Amino acid sequence: MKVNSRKALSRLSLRSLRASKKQNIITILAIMLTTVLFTTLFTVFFSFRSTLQLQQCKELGNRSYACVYNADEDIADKLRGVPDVENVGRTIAIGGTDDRQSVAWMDATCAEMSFSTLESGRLPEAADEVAVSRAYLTSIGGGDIGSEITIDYKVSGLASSCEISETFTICGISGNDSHCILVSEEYASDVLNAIGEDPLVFSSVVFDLKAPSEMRAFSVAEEIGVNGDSVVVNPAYASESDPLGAEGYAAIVVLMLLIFFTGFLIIYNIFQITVANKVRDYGLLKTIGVTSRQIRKIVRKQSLILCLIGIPIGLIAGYLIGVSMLPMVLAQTIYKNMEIVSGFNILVFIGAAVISLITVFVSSSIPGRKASKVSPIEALRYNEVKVSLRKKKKVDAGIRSMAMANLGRNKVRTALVVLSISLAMVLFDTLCIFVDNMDMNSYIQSTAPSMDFIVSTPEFFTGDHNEFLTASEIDEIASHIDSDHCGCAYSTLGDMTFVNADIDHPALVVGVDGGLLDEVNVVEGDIYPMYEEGSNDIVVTEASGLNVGDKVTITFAETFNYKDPATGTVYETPYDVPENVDFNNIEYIVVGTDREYTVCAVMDQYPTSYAPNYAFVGNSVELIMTAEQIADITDDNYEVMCYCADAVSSEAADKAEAYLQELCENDPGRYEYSSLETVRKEFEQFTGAVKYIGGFLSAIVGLIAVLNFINAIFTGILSRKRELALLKAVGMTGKQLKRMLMTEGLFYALMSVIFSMPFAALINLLFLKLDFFWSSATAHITVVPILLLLPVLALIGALIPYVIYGKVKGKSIVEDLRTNE
Amino acid sequence: MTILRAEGLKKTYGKGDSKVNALRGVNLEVNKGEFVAIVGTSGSGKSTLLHMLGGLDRPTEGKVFIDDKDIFKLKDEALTILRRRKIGFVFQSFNLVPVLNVMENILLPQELDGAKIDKEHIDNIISMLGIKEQLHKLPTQLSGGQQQRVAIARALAGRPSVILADEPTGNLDSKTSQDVMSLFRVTADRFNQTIVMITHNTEIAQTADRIIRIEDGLIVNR
Ligand SMILES: Nc1ncnc2c1ncn2[C@@H]1O[C@H](COP(=O)(O)OP(=O)(O)OP(=O)(O)O)[C@@H](O)[C@H]1O
Ligand SMILES: [Mg+2]
Repeated sequence: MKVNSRKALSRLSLRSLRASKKQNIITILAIMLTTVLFTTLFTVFFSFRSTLQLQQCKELGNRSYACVYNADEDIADKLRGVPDVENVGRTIAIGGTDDRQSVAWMDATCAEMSFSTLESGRLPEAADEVAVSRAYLTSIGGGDIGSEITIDYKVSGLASSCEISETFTICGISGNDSHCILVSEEYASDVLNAIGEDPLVFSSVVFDLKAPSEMRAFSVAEEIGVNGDSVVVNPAYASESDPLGAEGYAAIVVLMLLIFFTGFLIIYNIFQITVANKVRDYGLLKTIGVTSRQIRKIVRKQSLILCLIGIPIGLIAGYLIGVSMLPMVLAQTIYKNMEIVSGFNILVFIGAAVISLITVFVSSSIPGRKASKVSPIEALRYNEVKVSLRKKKKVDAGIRSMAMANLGRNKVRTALVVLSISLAMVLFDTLCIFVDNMDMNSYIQSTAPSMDFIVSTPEFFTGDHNEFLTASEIDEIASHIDSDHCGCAYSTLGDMTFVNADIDHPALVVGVDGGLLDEVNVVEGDIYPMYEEGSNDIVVTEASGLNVGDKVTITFAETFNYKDPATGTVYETPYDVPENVDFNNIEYIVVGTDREYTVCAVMDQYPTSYAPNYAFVGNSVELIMTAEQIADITDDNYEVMCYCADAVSSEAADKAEAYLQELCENDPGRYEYSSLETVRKEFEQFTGAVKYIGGFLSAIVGLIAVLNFINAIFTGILSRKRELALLKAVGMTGKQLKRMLMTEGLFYALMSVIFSMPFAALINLLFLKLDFFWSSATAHITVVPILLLLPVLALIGALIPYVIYGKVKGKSIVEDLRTNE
Repeated sequence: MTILRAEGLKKTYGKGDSKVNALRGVNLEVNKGEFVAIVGTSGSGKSTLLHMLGGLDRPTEGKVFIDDKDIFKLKDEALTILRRRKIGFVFQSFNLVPVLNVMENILLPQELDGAKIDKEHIDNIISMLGIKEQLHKLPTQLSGGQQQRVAIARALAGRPSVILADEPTGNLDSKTSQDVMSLFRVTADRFNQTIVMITHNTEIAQTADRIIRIEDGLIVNR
């Protein structure tokens, strides 16, 4: 029974759709563009997310979804038997080296998950074999398969820990992303057994899920009889550490709303115009007994059919655009050299399709409701052409006022078209403001370092400071840069320093070679004492609160002791603290090397060339000491932060640039540099991305606006065909008629321009607050782009009605008069 | 047996100065199987009355009973369904759905109802109305008389107990009007349907069982 009525409804929906082909094309285009915007947005954001996740995995050293601790081959086998589990791998972690390499046995799957796939050789089998990464080999001074290396590392067991120094033969070399020193399974168990530890405690099994979900990870464990406590989901995938963060999702929501609004503007307008023009048809259907609900169903069916065509095309186009945009977006982040995950994710498609569908349904449901409320009487009031042809002395004035009256006839339609065009213009104006005000010089001034070249590991530039250049690498680099003003900056990073051994008063220490001291911008005092050998003078920042002549004691922390303030007892390790003492009350005591220095000068801030890319919060002291001093206080436990150099001539600079560029391109995981050239490139990349993404956005929104406009004009003419014919019949010439229609178009253009200018100005003002890219002195707001668009808009406004009327009008007045639509 | 009954029907359009009292208290009873003609000058309120009788529009005051059921107590949705099942409408023009062909137009109300289609009955109507050749044409490809016949076929197809027609022959020449009218009568008689028809044509009115004259929104007795 139901089936029958559905068939009749479908037929009605399809037939009446087919009757208005041109309008359908416009609707489909509108749906398609909306879908393109959604898909692009999702593709960019979620690829961005996967890319960041991968980066996080690289930092953590593992990319598998979850890990089961205390698990052996038996559990691995059980996991392999679960259908939605894949990439099951095993490892035994035994320790780590001082330079943050972990020492472990891994099977091939686990090695792959740990970014340690071998580039040459094979995984260790014999107890004296080892596989290491190329980067590690470089950092210890080279080596190859077959050569012997000695590895010093630390095993931290449950009961005991010990330092081990072992000589191995290299049997395999892995890529630069690896931070693992791989040994054989036999060796790993032997070492643990030797120090009295159970190897099982150090064994774990890693695995992936086909459809990642934290809940599933735990339920899988339950299925194979493993305690949920020993299962850990990789923090990179954990929901709380989502790399997009709250701001990222907020941005998505804002953009989604913007897109939704844009889509709504046109789709709603199209449907409401259609419904307004078909009131009679709906009325007729009602007299025959079509219920309100069935009419709503008809409208919904029609929009669904149009979606079936528009959305798939939009999905594909949006995905392609999104993928092409991703590298530009990534280039704006600190993760420049990341491996891009193109993020082909079925969820992106499903999500974009669903959201587009919702947009279409929401936009069409209001007009659909209106259609369903049409009174059946409407169908019978058919001769409703009211023409008021008041005679005016000046024909032109008459035409103009008639055009105005026509726009006023359907105020919602006119408002939506004007709003749609304005939205595009405001977007375009904002983009122009951005591009116009963006000033390379102020960008360079605010971001470029004061020296020609800064070379370090990529970690320095991202603020991580986990990897450092070695002395031999610096020598090699320095030999290629012809410079008489150069040197290294050093840091104690990884080890903490404090003022007066006060745990709440950290110090950020940068040591520099004498050649770099002149970079310091002294605001008070004199830096010359620091050039003398054996000087005990330092420079501090203004923010430190110290003055010239002050004496300050800096402590280089070696370890911490724990003092119970109640008894005054000092414990050496946290384990020594008795259980009945509340650990929250324990005071930390810094134990280390103390040195007293004199403040000889105060600087405004660290020189841009070697400023560390991170800072302590709170009452820290930022200071610069000499290389000699940092070596002394740390007992040679300091690292090279970066190498800075000014070239002697422009030819030397060009040569150095070329050398550094090649160096970093060849090994982007190890080296990175910064120069005027790279800053300029960054700037260009950024403006390029803004132009591309902004251009894309305003182009699509603009296209939607034009579509909206075409649709309004087209349906306006179509629905008035009879009326227009009547006007002609009573004596309006074709020329006058066209002029009237073109005047209508021009009014649209004019109204949009007037409407969008204050908005554009407002948004401009907000944007200028981002004075990072421009100096506030030269930045200015402008609505000139909108004014420049006026003639274009006017042309479109006049041309479209002209063309459409020519197409729509029939062969004769009689024919037009007889059309009942 | 009364099938259609109107009690104190009033309809007012507009407000204030432009207020029009289209109906000013109409009482009417129509028996099952009766053929009633409504006549009156233009603007007297004939169409308004017909619309009220068929539940197309709600009266300002008064009630309409179909089969002793107060139809304006129904919600819009239910009223529409009642209309679909009990009443067939024929209007002067704008009767057919332009995108559906003749056959589809005829079957539409029943398909919407999800009702079982009585093929024999439909074939009967079609051959009686002589539109067999036109079944697959679109309304725009038909002449006015043919269109009107299709509309009548649609009105009869669902075997409604009441047929309401507003100048069904207004657009037709006298010969075709005669043809359409006799078809109307014959089929209605055969299926024992009640017909209420507005007409300006005295000849046609004469063939009715009863003539009701409306002047200025009120039924006047002859
Ligand atoms: N929707 C409406 N709004 C305002 N006034 C209306 C409306 N419909 C009808 N009227 C008025 O109600 C009165 C009765 O109209 P109605 O259509 O019933 O007349 P009629 O008898 O059918 O005339 P005709 O023979 O010309 O069709 C007329 O004065 C008409 O102007
Ligand atoms: Mg009438």
